[in-house]
Amino acid sequence: MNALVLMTLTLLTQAPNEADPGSYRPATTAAEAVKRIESRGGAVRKVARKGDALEVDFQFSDPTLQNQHLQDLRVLDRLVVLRLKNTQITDAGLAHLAGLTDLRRLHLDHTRITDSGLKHLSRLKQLEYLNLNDTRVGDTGLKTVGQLPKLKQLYVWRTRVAGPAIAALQQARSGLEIWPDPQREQQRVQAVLAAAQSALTSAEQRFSVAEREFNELHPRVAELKKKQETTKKRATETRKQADAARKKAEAAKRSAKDLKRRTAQAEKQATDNPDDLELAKQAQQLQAQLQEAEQQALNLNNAHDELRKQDGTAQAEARMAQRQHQKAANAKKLFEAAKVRVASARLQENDARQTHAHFGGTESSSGKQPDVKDQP
Amino acid sequence: MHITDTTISRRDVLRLSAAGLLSAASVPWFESLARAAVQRPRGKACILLWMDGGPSQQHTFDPKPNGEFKPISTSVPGIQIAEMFPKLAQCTEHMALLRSMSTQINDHYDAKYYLHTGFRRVTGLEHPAIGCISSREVGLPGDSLPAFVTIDAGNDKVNGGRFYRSVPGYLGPQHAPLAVQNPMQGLENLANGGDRIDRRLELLAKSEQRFARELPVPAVGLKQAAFDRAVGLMRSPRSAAFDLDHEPASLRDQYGRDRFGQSCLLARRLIESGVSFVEVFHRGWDDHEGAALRIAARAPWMDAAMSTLILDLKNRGMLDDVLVVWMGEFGRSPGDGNGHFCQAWSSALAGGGINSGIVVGKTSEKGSRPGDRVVDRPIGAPDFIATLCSLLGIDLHTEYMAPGARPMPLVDKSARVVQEVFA
Repeated sequence: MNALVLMTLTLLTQAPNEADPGSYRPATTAAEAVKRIESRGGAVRKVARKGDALEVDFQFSDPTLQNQHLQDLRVLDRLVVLRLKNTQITDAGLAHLAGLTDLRRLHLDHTRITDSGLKHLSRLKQLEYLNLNDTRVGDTGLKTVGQLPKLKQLYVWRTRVAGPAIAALQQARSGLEIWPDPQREQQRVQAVLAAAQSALTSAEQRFSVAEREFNELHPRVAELKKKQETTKKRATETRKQADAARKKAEAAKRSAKDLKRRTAQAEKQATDNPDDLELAKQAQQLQAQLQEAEQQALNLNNAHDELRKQDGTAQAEARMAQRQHQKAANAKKLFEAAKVRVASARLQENDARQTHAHFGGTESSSGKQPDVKDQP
Repeated sequence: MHITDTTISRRDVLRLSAAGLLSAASVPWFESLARAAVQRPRGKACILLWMDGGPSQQHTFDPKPNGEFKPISTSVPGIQIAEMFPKLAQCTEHMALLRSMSTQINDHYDAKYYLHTGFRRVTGLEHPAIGCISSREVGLPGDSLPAFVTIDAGNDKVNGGRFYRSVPGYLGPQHAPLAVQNPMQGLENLANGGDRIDRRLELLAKSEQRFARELPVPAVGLKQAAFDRAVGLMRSPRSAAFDLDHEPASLRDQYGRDRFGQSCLLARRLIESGVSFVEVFHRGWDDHEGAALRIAARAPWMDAAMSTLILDLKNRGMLDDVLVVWMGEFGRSPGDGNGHFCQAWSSALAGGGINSGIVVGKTSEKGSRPGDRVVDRPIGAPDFIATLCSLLGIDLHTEYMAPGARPMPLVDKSARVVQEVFA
């Protein structure tokens, strides 16, 4: 009884498409086929710039496309992509695709096709991609298309296909990707949750460090700023003193050098004129002055060294104080950033946890499997 | 190489021909135009997620071990991204991360221009943006939906300098984008005015007729074409694509009930309805006060929206045909991300039939500032645009005619596509 009702319904829904089934004259040349396809809002394109492989796209076509019009496709050589998404075609239309053995990609999503139409696809041995989203296809149909030898991608979102049937086919065909796959989706949701949890832990750790530094340093900002200023002032002062001492020492060194030259000259003159006592006396005087000058230069040099050391210490202190102040000044900013980060990480973790719960709890992967229909 | 004349579209030729302006002797040319549809590339589409202001690579797709955001492992062994993006981390098998963008321009506007067109800004000539190029090369001529739509996903701070708007330049105004100001409101003024609007349009057509007859210059045709486009959109049942109320609440939640999430959802709806290129832009990524705070705040919505977009396209079987691009005009200085940084930054691709689950290029790991330079395979702006064009099936040898009969290449002659992303 039920079957009869179903059959009547099927016949009724197919009725408008099957008006005068025998009277349609399929296109006999490729040019004619292209013309007809374009007249119905379809498009013919080359798949790649090189080569002659063709794609026929009816997804944005007029609602006038009927099953019988698919007979026009037969004359197109190298038809590898066919998009029938969102068209009025039904199972009867699929019969006209049976001979299109070059097809690699077939989009049948959002149509009224059912399990019984899929048997017409069994000769499409090259088919790699099949989209059955949003159709009335069920587990039987899944089994039928599961036989296609080269199939790599199969889409059964919002169909009557159930989770266990997908799992069984997935088990049998490892090279085949089925979308959506409840098991894979569950694994993904689990991995997202784990990542979100670890991001939350990391955010909380960083938060506690930032909080501690903020509590320690932030109240001392003014104090550290003052310290930075005084140390900087002192360092400027010591640098000035050291520079002045250096200049003095250098000047003393220069004058000692000059004196040395003059002394040597005087001594040479005295040696050359051993009878001139005046010259000998001058040389002796210069010699005495030179000793004094050299001593002074040494003293000034020592003083400079001392001041330079002091300046080095003062500069290091100033740098340290500046760093500390910078850290204190940044502590608030980093603390704010850490707060935002924890808030975001909590939001994400919460979201991941809810999604995970929606997918059937925490413990085992054999828990309640969600309906294929509910998935994104 | 084929040189295309941009002044007369196929549609205009049909109109001019019908008006008797072109003689019947031009039949062979006419035929070759009609066959143009067969020559078009495969029906690919692109969603560009434009992070205006320059997003930090070290806080997103190129984290460093001692960086502010730690690296986390992803669904692809060996690839790590920043820890604030757990959902995107589980989509990495569908993505290709380009970590060696290296583009010479640190100024916002010039860089935005450079990364949208593949050419440096010059005076006296505007190069067409990638969206306009796609409109011309991938879009269906005369379609009731526009081929290129931009969506304003809002901003969390007004920064990043002058805003760049995609300009068709010498491709002609018919390839300018249709701008959606607010994804939640869809397209304003789309409501069909019924008989009243029909009467007004009739009146307009009558009053324009004489002008068009006496002055058959391209500009008049283009103005009429733009008007026809608007009316066509108004009357098309496909304009429902702009209305997010048709989407189930649960999916809207997954994309995120914020402006960026809803923009991504709208982008998918538009692509599904036949739009070729959608640019979703979010402004405010010019994080001079440090990237950590700002990107921590943005991470939840960016993670949710972008990952949901990729998986939604995948579930619908559309991901092979739809290229998703995430990028800005440059990256940010290594470490805290305070400054502009064009020497070494990241962009991300997903879908579009790319060779996914890979990282292309590498930035430095050692030294006082890890990540301050590209150590492997620099990708310039012309290389990047050429790669996008190539992924969309556009012939890289295409030439256009700019004003003054000046032939302009589609991409700079120096451009080399990033071969690694081709499957």
